[in-house]
Amino acid sequence: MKLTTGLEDVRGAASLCIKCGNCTYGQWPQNYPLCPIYSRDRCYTFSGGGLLYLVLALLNKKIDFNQSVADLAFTCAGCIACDRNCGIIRSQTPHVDPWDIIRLLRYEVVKRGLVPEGRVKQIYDEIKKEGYYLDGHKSPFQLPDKISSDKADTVIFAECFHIQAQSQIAESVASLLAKIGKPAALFSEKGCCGSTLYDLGFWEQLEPLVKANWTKMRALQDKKFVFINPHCQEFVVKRYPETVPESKGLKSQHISQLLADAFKDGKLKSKKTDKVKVSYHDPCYLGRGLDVYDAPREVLSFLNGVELVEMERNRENSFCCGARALGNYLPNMSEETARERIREFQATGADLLITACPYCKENFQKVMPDKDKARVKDLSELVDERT
Amino acid sequence: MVVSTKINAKERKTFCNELREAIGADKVKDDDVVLVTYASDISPVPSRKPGFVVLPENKEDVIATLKLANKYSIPVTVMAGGVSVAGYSIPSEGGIVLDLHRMDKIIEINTDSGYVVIEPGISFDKLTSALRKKGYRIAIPTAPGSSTPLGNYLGRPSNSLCNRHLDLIVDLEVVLPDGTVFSTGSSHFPNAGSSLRYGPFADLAGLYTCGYGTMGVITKATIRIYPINEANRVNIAAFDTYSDALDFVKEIINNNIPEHCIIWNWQLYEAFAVDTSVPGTEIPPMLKADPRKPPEGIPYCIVTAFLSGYEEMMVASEKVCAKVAKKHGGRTLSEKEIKELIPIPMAGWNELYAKYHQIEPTFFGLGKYMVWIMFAEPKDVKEMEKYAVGELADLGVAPVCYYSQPFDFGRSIFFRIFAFPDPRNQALIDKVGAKFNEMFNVAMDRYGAIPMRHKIQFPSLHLTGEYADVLKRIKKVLDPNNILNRDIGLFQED
Repeated sequence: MKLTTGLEDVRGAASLCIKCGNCTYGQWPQNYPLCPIYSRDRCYTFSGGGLLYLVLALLNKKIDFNQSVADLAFTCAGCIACDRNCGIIRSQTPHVDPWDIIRLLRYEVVKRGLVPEGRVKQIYDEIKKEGYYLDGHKSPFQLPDKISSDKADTVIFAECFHIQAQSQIAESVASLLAKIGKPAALFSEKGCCGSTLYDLGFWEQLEPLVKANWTKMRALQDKKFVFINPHCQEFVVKRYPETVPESKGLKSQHISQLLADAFKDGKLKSKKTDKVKVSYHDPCYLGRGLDVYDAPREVLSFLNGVELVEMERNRENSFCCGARALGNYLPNMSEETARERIREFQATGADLLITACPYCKENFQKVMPDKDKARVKDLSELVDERT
Repeated sequence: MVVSTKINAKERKTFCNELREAIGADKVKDDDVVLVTYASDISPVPSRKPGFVVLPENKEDVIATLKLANKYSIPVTVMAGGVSVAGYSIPSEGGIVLDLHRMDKIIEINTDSGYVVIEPGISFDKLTSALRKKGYRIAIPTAPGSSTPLGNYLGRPSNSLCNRHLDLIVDLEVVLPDGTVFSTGSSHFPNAGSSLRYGPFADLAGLYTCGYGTMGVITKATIRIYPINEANRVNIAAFDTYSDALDFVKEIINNNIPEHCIIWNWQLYEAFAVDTSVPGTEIPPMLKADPRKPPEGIPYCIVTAFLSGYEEMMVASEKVCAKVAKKHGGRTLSEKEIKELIPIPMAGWNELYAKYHQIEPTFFGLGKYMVWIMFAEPKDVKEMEKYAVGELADLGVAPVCYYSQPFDFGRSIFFRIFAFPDPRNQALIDKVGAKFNEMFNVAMDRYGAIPMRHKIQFPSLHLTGEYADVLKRIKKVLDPNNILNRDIGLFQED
């Protein structure tokens, strides 16, 4: 969906919704509830389809843009479950999924100055001022000297360090890259890839940022980009071409895939052998967004002593961590979503909750009791500890 | 315009406070962002914004809501699954939507007497999942898996997989506006379960079939379940005319061969192969062509005959199907032909019949789904098919898709035809709507056909004569303030 797409352009797609509710739950026969907002409050409005009907009501002037509309639009967690389970609305031109239309709705409310208070407003204010979002964090990421090479075929995409967890994960990634010994270059430019701006509807500031980043990335476009954050990867791979068409076809890999390859090639060896049960949480953007389900599990299978115990909802049916549910329509939406997922983790009896996205790690740790926070780890951190 | 509510703002506020106190604040929504999403569906029925959306979680919540709504004379529109293409759940302006989604429990599965007791909000998907673990199934319609058995069965639409099983509903628990709760079937006897619908008294469940929520709110239902047999097959027969296909269907049904049959026209089974969920998918030119003239090698109609039973029966039944198809000018398609001609639809039918699970039809993505449905006797429906296809062909809204199936062993035939105008072309949508209304009148006058749906989709349909008088008298007793689904088109004149 291009940034020039307007709400009227998606009327056709929204008009096809038959209110089947498939956007809220996973495939038969499990029928797992997947939409975080609908799971929280089972009212049709709080679903991908419900938000399409809200958009139609706005287009048909049955309701005006107001703060409730904005708060609801931002309460959606952006977990992509609706996109994966709706086979109907995508047929229209422009080809959009429910989550695209929700992003567009956010853009429309932001345009009208209806930015929800709290985290969203905080991010918006910084973006308005700086043109990007760092939350005061500068990228601390440095490649180990022994592998750093501008001529390397692999580029580590080291942006979006506004997430505190990303800095911690990056240390492990740097350590692992050194162990693997594969030469790598570094991409660290504006500190922000633009995915946050895109998802939150801050599109006025998005195009300049993407273009500025691409100006620097262009010279590296024949290399393979390795991402720590799946949100960055999904955005760069799938959305950059809408603004900079020449970026289409960029080779990319998530760090979990690089680690799986390293194990297979014998460049990483598991050393620790103490037994530990882990449960792996599929991040929405890595799983449903990029279809990467196997690599993290392969990595875990290479770690001696590590036993994977799946949560009931896994892979395509994974339930969101709630990190990106930033609106105020339902109180504590983000935290409650994380708590629901943690209860599912606890039911497995596993010792550690492993994920592969800094947003997930941060949000799970936020709601975990202090004594248990260390039980939430990124895959890279676990691998670094055990190799 | 129908004036749906007559209470003032102060009374509305009082009502809302009382209801919240009675059932819990989180179950009563009155925010505009919620209300507007319940105001319309995909049908051309004009939107009407409710004043409240109420989400009961049990019978007591329903009783409390109805009693208060009755006290303040606020109209109540009931919604079970809400998957509607016909305006069934569009509320009264300012009224209440009673959304039963949260009442979705399976209360009892009785494999001995062959029934399941459910709450109204349970979906086909959830129920079929639970039943298959026990080796049982229910009658499955050509409707999305997220729709509800209760809403579907009560509406009597395309109850598929049920040629032999007409009474899908056994027992209903009903709440009336004054708070009265009663059961319609055998469970009203103190020591009996829900195994029997009829006798020794009048069949009250019949009041609720095609009653569209105007006679009470159902809080519990008992529906039939059937064991999944040892073997099953989908036999495919091809015909050059609908008439031949229907004769084939009638004969094999009357000889107890198939569990279930559907006749599909060629533009529909070809449309099944178009995966509109893949961006950029183009509609093939043949689906924009005249629906009366299939391309060379494409059968005008195919019949899916679902066979189930013991393995030995499958072999014999397939032989019979081939013999009867030939007799009526058709032929059974070979495995090779099926692979070449209809691999994608066949995969869907195999899934449907092997697992008793609906495949989400992506053909809803072809455009704005608009549907016309009638029942007619076999000899009449043959002529009606030609008429309906011709009218839509002349309108230029191809693909023109239809399917048709026998009810009651082929004594009455269900015929559902649909078009997919561009959702942004309101003029064409209006034109199709007007054409459908004209076709309803012609079908009733010329073919003795009966509309499946009520006035809300067929504006010139009216309840008339002594039948209407008796029905209205019953309604007056059960719902004296006419709060139940007041604007659905049956009793709004009152």
